[in-house]
Amino acid sequence: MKICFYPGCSFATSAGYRESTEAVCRKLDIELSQIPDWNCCGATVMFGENKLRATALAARHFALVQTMGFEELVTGCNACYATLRKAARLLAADEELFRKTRGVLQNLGLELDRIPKIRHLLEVLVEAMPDSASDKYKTLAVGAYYGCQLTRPDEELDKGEHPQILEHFLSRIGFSVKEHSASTRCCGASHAVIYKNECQELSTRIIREIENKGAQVIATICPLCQFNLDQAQSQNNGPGLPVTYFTQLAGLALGLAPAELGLNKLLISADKVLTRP
Amino acid sequence: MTTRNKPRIGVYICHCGMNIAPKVDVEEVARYCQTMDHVTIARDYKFMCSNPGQDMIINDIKELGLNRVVVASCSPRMHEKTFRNAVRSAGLNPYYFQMANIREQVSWVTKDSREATEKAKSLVAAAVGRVFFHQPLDTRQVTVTKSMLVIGGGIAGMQAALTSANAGYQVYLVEREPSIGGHMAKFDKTFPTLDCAACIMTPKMVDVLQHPGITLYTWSEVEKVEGFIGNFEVTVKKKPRYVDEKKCTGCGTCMQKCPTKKILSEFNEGLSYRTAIYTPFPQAVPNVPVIDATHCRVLGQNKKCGVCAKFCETKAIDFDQKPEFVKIKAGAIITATGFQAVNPTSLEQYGYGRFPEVYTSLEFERLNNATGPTSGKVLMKNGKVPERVAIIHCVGSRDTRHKKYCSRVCCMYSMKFAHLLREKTGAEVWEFYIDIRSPGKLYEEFYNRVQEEGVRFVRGRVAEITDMVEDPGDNGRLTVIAESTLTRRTVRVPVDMVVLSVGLEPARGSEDIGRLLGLSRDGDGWFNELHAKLAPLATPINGIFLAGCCQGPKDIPDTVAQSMGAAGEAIALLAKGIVTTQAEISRIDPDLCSGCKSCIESCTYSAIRFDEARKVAVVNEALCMGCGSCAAACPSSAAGVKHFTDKQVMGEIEALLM
Repeated sequence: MKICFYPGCSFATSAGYRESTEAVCRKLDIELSQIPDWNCCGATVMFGENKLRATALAARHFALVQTMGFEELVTGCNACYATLRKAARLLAADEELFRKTRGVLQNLGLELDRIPKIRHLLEVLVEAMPDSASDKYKTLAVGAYYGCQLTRPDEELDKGEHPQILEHFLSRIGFSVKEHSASTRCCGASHAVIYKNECQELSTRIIREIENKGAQVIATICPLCQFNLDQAQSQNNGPGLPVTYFTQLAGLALGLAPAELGLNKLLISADKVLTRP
Repeated sequence: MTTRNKPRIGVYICHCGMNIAPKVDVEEVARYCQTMDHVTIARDYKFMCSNPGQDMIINDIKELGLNRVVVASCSPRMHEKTFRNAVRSAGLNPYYFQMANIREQVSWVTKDSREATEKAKSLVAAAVGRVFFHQPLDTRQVTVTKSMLVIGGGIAGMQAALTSANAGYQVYLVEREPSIGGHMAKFDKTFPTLDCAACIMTPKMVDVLQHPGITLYTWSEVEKVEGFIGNFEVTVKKKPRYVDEKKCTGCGTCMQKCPTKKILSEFNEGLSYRTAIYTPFPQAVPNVPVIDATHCRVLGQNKKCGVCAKFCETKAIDFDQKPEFVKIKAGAIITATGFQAVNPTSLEQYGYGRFPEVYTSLEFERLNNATGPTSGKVLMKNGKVPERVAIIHCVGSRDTRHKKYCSRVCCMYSMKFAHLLREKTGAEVWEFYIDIRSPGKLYEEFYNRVQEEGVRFVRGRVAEITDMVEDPGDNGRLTVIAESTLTRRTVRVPVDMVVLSVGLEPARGSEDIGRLLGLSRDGDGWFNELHAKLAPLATPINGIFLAGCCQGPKDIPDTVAQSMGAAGEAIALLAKGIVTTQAEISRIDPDLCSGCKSCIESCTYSAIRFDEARKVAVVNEALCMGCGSCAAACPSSAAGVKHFTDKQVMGEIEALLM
């Protein structure tokens, strides 16, 4: 299987997301065709600045996807996922905006006729991963963490407030899942840079809840979530729960080595919980 | 057409106050009509339906010798009867009248005034084109069966049945559950007077059972409804109870001995268990158990058991019972199918189903009730008394994502809960509301009373209920998070128990009942009344009335008042004893009929029979509803509906397209 992949700005430099995604996709025979010459999706800030520019920034990828001959675009970042979907939604609803955006893209020598379906990498792996064949990790208690942007506002992938797609995935591939009540609470996102203390509190609240409910490791699906939850504990001021990517856990389930999955890059080491007898 | 009968048409354009006139240029429409062939007079007037308006028509008929009348005003559903009566009182056959709807179909829905005026002209012209071909028609009178059917045995149906039976009419009350009583039987106290629901309810249930004028069918459903106003023929399906009602003494031994004990009790909202042979609650009426065939070892699992039968001294258990079908004749039908509480599971932010201490209001009613799972003690699942309780108003109501309407009862029952909690447990009670709606007699006073009792009110829709804690001391509690819109602050209240005051929706199965009776439902599924203000208990189907929540959410006082009203409507119909049948019915021309019987097959009312002697189809005028199926099915154009002849309809269309 070949998928059109949009990495977004944080993918390559995040703690093992790239390594684990590539390793897992290799193992599952999924070819990642990266969009050439991709740009920043604009994130949430751009829409506050200028609607046309924000839409065009995102829509440039829609045109590139079309050039590549794909119908779908896959991303592993919640912010990219939400931003691209927002642009797609606006373009579908507003003919005038669509016409203007096309004009902008034509100046760049790009054609936009159709809007691709935008999917999260989680959806792809939910479909591609086989059920667990071993019980190696069946006692490893994982807390699923979505962040706030995967199912909100449109609830297309799962329910908005209390989604279960990640929990079902993790338990299907052989982990023990601990239910908790912080799975869609905001980690502070990019505000962590400016409002460090406030965001530290937000992240700590999430980690404490997940630990309270008995999880030993957190599974994330977004680079910024992972970073915020990981670094919030790095000054020895948290319970020390390793914050992994779901792709890293998927890799473990497929029998890949931790080093191959970039697990050594986590600030809070996962070695201890993974090497338990 | 003889000269004497040459059409002389009067056309009357109604302003309907400010409803038609500002949009449609009524004077221009009248001037236009004056130029039409056969129109003797065309006038406009402020309110045609008023006394002076009707007199204008009557005088013109008498003085100008009019023999046809057209009124252009509102919908015929509103005033066709009014104007037909006016025409009749002037000595003309009422069917020499035609109505053009220039309000609902023109002024209310057309933006441009010019366009509206043109549209009004076309519609009036069509009415003139049609009335030209009208024929005098006669109605007939048929006798009314002096009995009625009430569907639903909650407080609405019970009250309607009692009122009607007390007036001396035979009432058949059909309830699908094993007992009558409905939702009210589940309640503990009722607002605002705090009457004990059981104290005012159970004697009424016994009255229904013992009333010589009421035949009660519980564990039964309406299967088929035929006939028409005054003469309905209803088939009731008595579901097998597997207990012989005549033999059973209600001793209850079977329930004690039944080995299948772990079935969630519907009556206790799943908070306790019942056996496979059961009555929903100890005060059930009739006090005759039913066997739940799905869970019974004999009936559902093909196992040897029969313990109930072994212990039954009167040999009342009958595993071979089959459904029984009873035919009932009824002059009127009262629909009282009620509501069901909205299931809050889909409002996931409130955690119903995830957090054990989140209850629906009906569950809380049972928790409060002396016959409930805790014998009326408000206890948490761990057996402790809650110290702080949150009550969330409008759950699933007043929300465009769920039910957009107000449930009309949740403010008041929430405050009743608050009072009971304060009284029984001394717990701190927090009410989270959007607005307090207490528009009833003594309702505002009750609101004041619970405030004085120390109940805290926070104005704000709750965002979330979570088991995530800020303070480790609150571990195991739930936190209610809301914006207090009066203080503009977010409040986080740790509580032991949460009650979701859920909204109301039409009862399961009301769609099917609607289909059986031919009743229409509004966008939210409630049955439509004939007119929101002037005929709130009647339906578009003559002889069928509405009582209680099946028409829309309402509280007990309103439900009882409406039920008595519906009974009054039905009694009026039965007391008069005769109904006038409609004149617009089918007629089959014996000279054209080829005897093919296509019409007989097409008739849903079984109103056509075959005359073997003459070899032609004949319409039974008492049964015909004038639906026109036979006219459509007839290959030789022998069948037609009076007042909808080809000439009349073509005349209308031609004038419309001119």
